[in-house]
Amino acid sequence: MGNTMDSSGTGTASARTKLSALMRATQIGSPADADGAWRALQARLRGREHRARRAWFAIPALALAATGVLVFLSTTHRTFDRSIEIGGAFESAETETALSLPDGIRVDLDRRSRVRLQTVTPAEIRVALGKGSARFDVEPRHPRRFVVDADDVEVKVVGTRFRVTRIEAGGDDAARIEVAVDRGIVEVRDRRHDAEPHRLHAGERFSMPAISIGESSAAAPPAQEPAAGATAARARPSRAEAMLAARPASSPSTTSARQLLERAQVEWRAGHMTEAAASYEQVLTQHASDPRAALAALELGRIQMDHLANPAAAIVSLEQALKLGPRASFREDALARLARGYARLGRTADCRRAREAYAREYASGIHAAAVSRLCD
Amino acid sequence: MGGKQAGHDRVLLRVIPGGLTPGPIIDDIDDVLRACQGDNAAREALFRRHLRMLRQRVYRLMGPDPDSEDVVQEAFLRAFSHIRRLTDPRAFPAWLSKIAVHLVNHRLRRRKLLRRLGFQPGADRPEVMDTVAAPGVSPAIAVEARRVYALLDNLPTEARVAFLLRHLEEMTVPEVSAQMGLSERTVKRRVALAELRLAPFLELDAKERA
Repeated sequence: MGNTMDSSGTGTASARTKLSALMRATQIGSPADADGAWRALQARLRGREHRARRAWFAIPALALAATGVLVFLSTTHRTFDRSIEIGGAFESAETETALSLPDGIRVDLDRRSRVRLQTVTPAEIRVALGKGSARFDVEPRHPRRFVVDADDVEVKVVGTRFRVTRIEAGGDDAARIEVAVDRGIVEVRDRRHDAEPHRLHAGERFSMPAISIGESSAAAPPAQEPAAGATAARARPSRAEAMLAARPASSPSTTSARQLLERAQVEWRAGHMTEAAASYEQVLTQHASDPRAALAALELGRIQMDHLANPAAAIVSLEQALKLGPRASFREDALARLARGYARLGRTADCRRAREAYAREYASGIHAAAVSRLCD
Repeated sequence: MGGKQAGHDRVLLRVIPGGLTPGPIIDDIDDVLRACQGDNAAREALFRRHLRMLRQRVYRLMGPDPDSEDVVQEAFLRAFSHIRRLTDPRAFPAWLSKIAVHLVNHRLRRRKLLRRLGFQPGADRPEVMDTVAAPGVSPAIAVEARRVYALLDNLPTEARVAFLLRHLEEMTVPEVSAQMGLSERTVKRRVALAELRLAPFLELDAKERA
């Protein structure tokens, strides 16, 4: 390349002149047509925002459709698998329902029957039959003891298939518990009489009176009766319920997180940096699991570094931001600031580490040049 | 600064970290923060403040191309749609320009591909240049500009953009690197390639390149 350039020598028109000509030829944009351009942009912005809003409206519609499909499946298919939480009860409606438990245990629940998953420990899985009838299929040599409670009847199994039924009182017949073994051996024990356990083999059946007052405490009915269809009622909030509670629109706690963030922005814009920092800190202490907590940590770090002259605190906040949002869009900025914070504190080793971390991920990043000059 | 724009109060100055001079950056901070809240007036202020800069950059990078204005619009559209991702409001112009440079790269590559497939007219398109050339440009300059862009059209896209940002926009290598998302070494290589190809026409000498 150098040879080409050197051999070209100097011409009648310098490169600069030609480039200037190019610049003049392409200088465009008068204030008059800025109005038209803004109107066009506004129209496009409105269109995009409208599409975005429609997308948001589509989410509940899709959720509704998905629920409809689930309800359809639950009412038209004989069984489907559904997991159950520890402490949670499951009640089938008008269809038989299959449940999968840990260790590959399968529970085929008859119509209008209820089971509760009592405990799952390294040694034992314990289920209580609260109502109706269920067949339990347990693989041989499963790692944990499997116990089914029905009132005060305890059924202990090691690799078998059996059925436990709670027959409600009717006519002259009192309520009773029945255990029928399809395969393998089970031990059945009546806790009320502290009797020796009965060993039941395949084809054998065990029956004894149920507690007259109804269900035992172990298999107490759920606080909220399930609606139509196969539904699960839980003794404690489910994961889904917890997630629902964390949704910004439906939970007072996250609404207040939003308020805190808005307050922080207002304070920032008004130049009240200490107050803005306090609001961000509140987000972090009261709403650490909020999805916006990572951004709050970053903003707090920025304020501490740029306005409160507190790089040590900024480092803590920035590290928290990176931890809370490891893939956040601000990662590059946070890493660069972290290196700068360490540099300001004179923590050279940490600064170098942060600088290398930045360079590894953003070799050609927007702060690459500035960060590379730090720490030396 | 105080009199720059109605609605700005003095407290905004406290937002500025030490060392920054009052000016458009201060306006940007306020407007970016307001635009994050969906304030249309703030968007308009940002648009009008940076339109000329962005147009000039896009038009220079793309040359005679009817898509140039569309790229400008798309760059603003993307910037406003994702403005909450901008963590440092002061960086708005650089960020906006980076979006535009990315779009230009994409369009130029696409244009090249289409041209190879015969879907677009050739490199020399005077009719297009006439429509985008600034008013008052002499025919001689327009012809010269067309010749340069014809040469630029034959360059690899990255080399073309790097060269124009470096020489026409007079950016430093680190600035070009940040705008294009390339390492400084790569930028230097791309610029050198463009200089090599354009040397016979531009008559660049070693002194000027330095």
